[in-house]
Amino acid sequence: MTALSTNICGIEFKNPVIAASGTFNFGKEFKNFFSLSKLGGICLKGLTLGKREGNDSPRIAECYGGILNSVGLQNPGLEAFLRDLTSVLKEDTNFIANIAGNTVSEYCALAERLSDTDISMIELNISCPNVKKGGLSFGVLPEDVKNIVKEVRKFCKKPLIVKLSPNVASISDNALAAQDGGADCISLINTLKGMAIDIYTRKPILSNVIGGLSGPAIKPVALAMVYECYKAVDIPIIGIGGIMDYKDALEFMLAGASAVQVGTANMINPMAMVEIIEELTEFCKENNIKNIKELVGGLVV
Amino acid sequence: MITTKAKILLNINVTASNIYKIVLFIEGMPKIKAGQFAMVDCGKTDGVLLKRPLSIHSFDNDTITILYKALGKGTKALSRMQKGSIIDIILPLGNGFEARNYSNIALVGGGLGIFPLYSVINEYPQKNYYAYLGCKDKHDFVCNDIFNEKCRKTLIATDDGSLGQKGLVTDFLASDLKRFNAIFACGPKPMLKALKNLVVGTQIPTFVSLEERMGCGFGACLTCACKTIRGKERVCMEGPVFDIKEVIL
Repeated sequence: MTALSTNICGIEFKNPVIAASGTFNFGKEFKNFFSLSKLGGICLKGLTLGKREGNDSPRIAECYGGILNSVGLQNPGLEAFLRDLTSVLKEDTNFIANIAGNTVSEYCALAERLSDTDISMIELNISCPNVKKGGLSFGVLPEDVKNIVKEVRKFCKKPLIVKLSPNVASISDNALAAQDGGADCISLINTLKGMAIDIYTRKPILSNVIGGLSGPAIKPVALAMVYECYKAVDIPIIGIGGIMDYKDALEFMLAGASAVQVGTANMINPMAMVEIIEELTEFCKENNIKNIKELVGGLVV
Repeated sequence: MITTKAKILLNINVTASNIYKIVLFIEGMPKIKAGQFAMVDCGKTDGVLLKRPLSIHSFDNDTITILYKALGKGTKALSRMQKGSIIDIILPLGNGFEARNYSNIALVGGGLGIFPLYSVINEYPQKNYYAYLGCKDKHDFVCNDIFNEKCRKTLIATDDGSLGQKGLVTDFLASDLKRFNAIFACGPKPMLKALKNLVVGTQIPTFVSLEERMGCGFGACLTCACKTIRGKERVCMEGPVFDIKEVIL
């Protein structure tokens, strides 16, 4: 056991640092910069049954301390994904499939099919703000969350993570609903709905008008939500939202996250996660922390 | 592609319209091709997070030169950086222009799109070049002299006639088409569309470098999508240079 090794839902992680879905594609691009085996895990690009072209450009707008995106789940679809899966899985890290559908039965079909592969876990994406059908619409009301998790659970033989949206009345109610439905783990937060406007053309910058806000601007919101959910549920939590460095990661762990996902930082600095892992190791050493699990939920209120 | 550090050797305003020339020294410079770009860190001031995709104007064994307009928060922050500063950079990115098989090449540039075209002459100095360069007005021209020096013909056009011909570059290209066995272009969408209409009936291989709002610059975030006959593709990876026949403008 190393200072950073951890276990989530029976899956061994070298460290609690996981690439967030949608900022890491299927991993290949980052091999130009480092060995993916350094990472705790990788949440793969959101996957749908059929191929999706995504929204029109512009799909990204920078705002103060944050980024808005409206990619819209562009992905090659399940079959094309499965054809390439063997080469993806070659790297020694945990691969987590992130799935999205237009209907509950599409989510079930994806979970069933992916359960027969060597991926480590499945993350249910019911929080994407950038698609018209499905996505967020299953993730707003607690009863809808519980229902979809319960249905998918019947087909999912892998540990099931439910990725929660912050664009809801009470995220802890939704966390409880996910737990009641049979989720093994929750991850939060997905992006907050946001927009940006060009004052000269008077047009929205994103072609989709509204997109999802990520980056350091959302970190305090995400941290509060992780804390609320930690108090509400018993299943492990993966914290997401504007993590730029090891200190941010530690804040999430103290608030109750067993692991973290890093998203926007990867786009700014492709080495961000490797640097976070190195600095976490250093932090544990300097502060005489035998294993980072000691810190989870260690907030002193 | 690598992520590395660059030292600013020069960073000066070269026109009245806020176009800057930056020269960066990079130890262990990877091999660069004409038409490729770099993601350049502009500092983390004013809430700026992302690196900016900037096309390479010229390059040698250990330096690259970029011409950029200080327009938004990021490029304005970059323009304030001092000589001697060290910045993060990712390069080289994208596919670039492939000039190897052509001898008579038209370089068609509009506005800021003129700058990366020079990298083709930089990489392949032995070819015959014909430059067609267009801008809004004379204040936007910063590097027509070097095109003049290296090209068999350099046609300058401005919207207001304040320099060179009055009109669009594509208006002046039509009568010369027979001279070229390739056309390389970079510029605003309307110019590229006009070019597409012009070359559609010819057999001249024509390649255009596109621009799109970008996140990572190295293919991971899928934000810089453009439409092609194959579906949506990444400007940063499958591009920025596309065959004009294959891209939907």
